[in-house]
Amino acid sequence: MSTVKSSALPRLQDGVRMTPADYKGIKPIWCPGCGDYGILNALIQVLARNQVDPARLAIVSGIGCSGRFPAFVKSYGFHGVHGRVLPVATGLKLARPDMTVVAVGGDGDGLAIGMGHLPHAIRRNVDITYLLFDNHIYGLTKGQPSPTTEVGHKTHASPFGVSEYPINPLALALVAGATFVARGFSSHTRHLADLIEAALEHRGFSFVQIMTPCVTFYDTYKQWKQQAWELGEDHDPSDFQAALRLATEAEGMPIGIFYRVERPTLMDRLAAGAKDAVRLQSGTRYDREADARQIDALLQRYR
Amino acid sequence: MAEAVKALTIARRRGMTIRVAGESGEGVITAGEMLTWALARAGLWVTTFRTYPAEIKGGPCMFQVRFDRKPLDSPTGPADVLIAFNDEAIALHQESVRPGGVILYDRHDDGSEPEGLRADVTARAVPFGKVALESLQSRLAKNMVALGATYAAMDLPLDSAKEFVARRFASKGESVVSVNVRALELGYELAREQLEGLGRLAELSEVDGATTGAADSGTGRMVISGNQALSIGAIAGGCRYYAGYPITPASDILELMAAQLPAFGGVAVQTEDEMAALASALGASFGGVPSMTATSGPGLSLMVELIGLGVMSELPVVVVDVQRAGPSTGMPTKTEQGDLNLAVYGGHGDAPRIVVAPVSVADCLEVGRRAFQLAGRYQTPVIVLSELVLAQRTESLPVPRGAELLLEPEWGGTGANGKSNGALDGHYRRYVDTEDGISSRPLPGDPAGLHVITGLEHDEYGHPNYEPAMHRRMSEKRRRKLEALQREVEADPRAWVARFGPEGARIGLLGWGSTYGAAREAAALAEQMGIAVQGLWVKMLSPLPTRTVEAFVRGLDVVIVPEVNASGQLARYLEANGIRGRIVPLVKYEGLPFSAEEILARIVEVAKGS
Ligand SMILES: Cc1ncc(C[n+]2csc(CCOP(=O)(O)OP(=O)(O)O)c2C)c(N)n1
Ligand code: SF4
Repeated sequence: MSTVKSSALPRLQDGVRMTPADYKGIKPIWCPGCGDYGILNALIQVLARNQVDPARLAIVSGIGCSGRFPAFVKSYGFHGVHGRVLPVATGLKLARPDMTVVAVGGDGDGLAIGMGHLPHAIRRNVDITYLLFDNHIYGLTKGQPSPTTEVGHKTHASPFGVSEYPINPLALALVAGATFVARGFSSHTRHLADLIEAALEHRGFSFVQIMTPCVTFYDTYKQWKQQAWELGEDHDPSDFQAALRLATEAEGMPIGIFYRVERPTLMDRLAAGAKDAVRLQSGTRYDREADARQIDALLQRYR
Repeated sequence: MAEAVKALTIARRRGMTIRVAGESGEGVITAGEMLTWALARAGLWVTTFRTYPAEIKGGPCMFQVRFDRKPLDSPTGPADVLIAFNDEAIALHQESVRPGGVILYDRHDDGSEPEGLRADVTARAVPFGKVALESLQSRLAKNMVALGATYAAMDLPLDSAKEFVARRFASKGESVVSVNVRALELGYELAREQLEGLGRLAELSEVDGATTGAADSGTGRMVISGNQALSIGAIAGGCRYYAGYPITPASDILELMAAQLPAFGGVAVQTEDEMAALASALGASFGGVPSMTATSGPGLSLMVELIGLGVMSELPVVVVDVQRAGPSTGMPTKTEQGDLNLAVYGGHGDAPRIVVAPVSVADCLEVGRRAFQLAGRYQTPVIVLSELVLAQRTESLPVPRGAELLLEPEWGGTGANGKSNGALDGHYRRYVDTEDGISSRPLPGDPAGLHVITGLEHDEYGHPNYEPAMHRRMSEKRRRKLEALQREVEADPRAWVARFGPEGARIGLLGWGSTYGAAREAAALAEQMGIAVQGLWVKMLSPLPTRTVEAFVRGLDVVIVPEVNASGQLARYLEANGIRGRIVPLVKYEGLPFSAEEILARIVEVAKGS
């Protein structure tokens, strides 16, 4: 097992206690039975278990059924536009390293319109957690195929069956260089909560593909329940080749931590690279005198 | 009449203009930058203009330096001196030399003369290339030889040129510095010894009152480009997060921010595309950090959906668009004022946003810093429309004091704007509806301010809500913020409009952006012809200060609206805003800026006709 230094979750002050119910935001509007409830419950369990300070937690989302997620958790939240969740989360984290930033998005949101951002968020190793809600379908737009839908699956938009091969998000995250790669299943809520907790504590970009059935447009419950199996002690998450083999060749649907490694984050590298940047900091603590001096120095360059 | 305009602009033009032309790679830009710096150091006010090819290597390239004892408005116009590095440069640029001007050109190694030299100019061959090759074993140093000759002819102290070379080439090592200094000296000696009659240059400068012995020493000035000024202004205005994707002519903003922001505690990143750039800036803004991105036309097109998100979620952010010419990839190295429509209207739905446009390099500094205050105060995207010619033009400016530049960006926090009007019922009303439409904005980390923002239509809490009354109310709230700003501008328009000329004049010039310089100069020239002209340049384009503009137009018989675009975007925008009057558009769409002469010609026509 690897020895991974955990990134500290922001805790509530002593004396304040929050129950799982306290972490709930407005009432979810998902279809009854939607897999996304399982993800919400798992996250709320993690927050309560760790007594996370909701004021220093931000949940950022794109568009889709998953996009509504931030409103259902009591924390700061940003429901943006389709596909841009990772850049939004990246900017927020760079600006506010003191915040725990969780990005959530669907398979359409993250692997179609937003696909271009995924490898870049990964190569930056920005210290955020990305939960990819994978239901193999476009829920909100009523059932068109997504980039993970299997070949041959028929929908209104693919009346002769999907012609394209599906994307393998885990393999993609691995080869792009993600430092934390995991898969969970919304029905295995306790297992999923452990995964999310590990992802939140990971220092760097953590990628969690979460299988979450859409009961309304593509009910995969039965199939995925049969296929899911939990990775055991025999898998070493520091073994990249083993992780890649699991992601590409395993029978059924293994869930658990595929890969985990510690590497400097984007903020670490930025701080190290800018040698004279003694003040690279979070937020905007202005220092009028120092800033004025710095501007004077900058203007001198043009004299 | 055209002849009269020409004669006047030549006889009465202020200052002196030196144009350096050659093939890209021949050192034209370095020579131009050096002249600029040395002239500024010599106590003159300098403004420059350059054109360069889109090719990576090769293609014709030009750098023009105009200078005077008093600050100048515009860098364009005829040249007094042309330094031509090759025959093509003579062919391309000798038309721009005024009659009686001087051309210094490289002598052919075989002694032959270039063809078609104009007879009404003093043309002198100097063996720049040959001298460089023979004494320095490098033809590349010919720009330095040419500059040395120019310095001698103009009686400029060579020391300032040497100082520039030492600074510019310091990183390349001692031997590079000494070769270039030697080249300067050789050119200087050559001109001193062999080119009597070139005293003509000094004479010219006497005539124009632009001698180098001008009164103040120039050391209190800097030479800075529009992009540099905009970036420094942004930092002074509080920018601490920058994200951008490279595009001409905005890339050097990214480069400057990447190098400088860390020293201010800030961060700059190069993103994978423009959508990521603006999205991340919005993320940073949500976190409470004043943020900016800069791009050019094609990038702004890509950002349009996210501008809507900024408007809807009421997040402040600064988006700089350094306009270039044409739709699609158009002409990346040419200038235009073609993005007004996109900036003001771009996007789906009604998305009122703030659009401002600087009129000069000095103004880039000013608008750069105030854009942050506007964005923060009104919680909405601010688009800064700059232009290629402003971005790349360098100008000498007094060095401001850092402490005076600093501005509070007002970027949120509980009680921002002196209000804490959202905390009610244990839930934070992030979008509480107020008289001026501005709500308080707590920042993440504040336990009393938990809220979720969204690009969906929402109620005061930020919860999605599609009720007819709600969309109506929130649309009005977003618009009301801009009306509040409009009132603020109308109450004291000085900061956001620039006026010139006598108030009683019946002919008016109305415009935006970089055309200001040429228009102001044209008005001054017109005055010398006995035609009174007054001008109004609008820097706040959205919300448009319609009362101010209306009052200006009402007092005039005719308003000329010069614009560097084909369709007259401002003229149409004025009409859309209900500004009525005799509006005469004057458009130019060649990828080049207006000269004062071109605007003057139209003024004269109009004056004759009315
Ligand atoms: C630019 C843009 N294009 C298209 C849409 C329409 N749209 C909304 S959600 C969605 C797909 C969402 O699918 P997925 O990410 O898989 O999420 P799910 O609803 O299944 O959770 C699309 C295409 C949009 N909102 N914006
Ligand atoms: S449409 Fe599908 S994904 Fe969306 S809420 Fe309903 S069940 Fe869930």
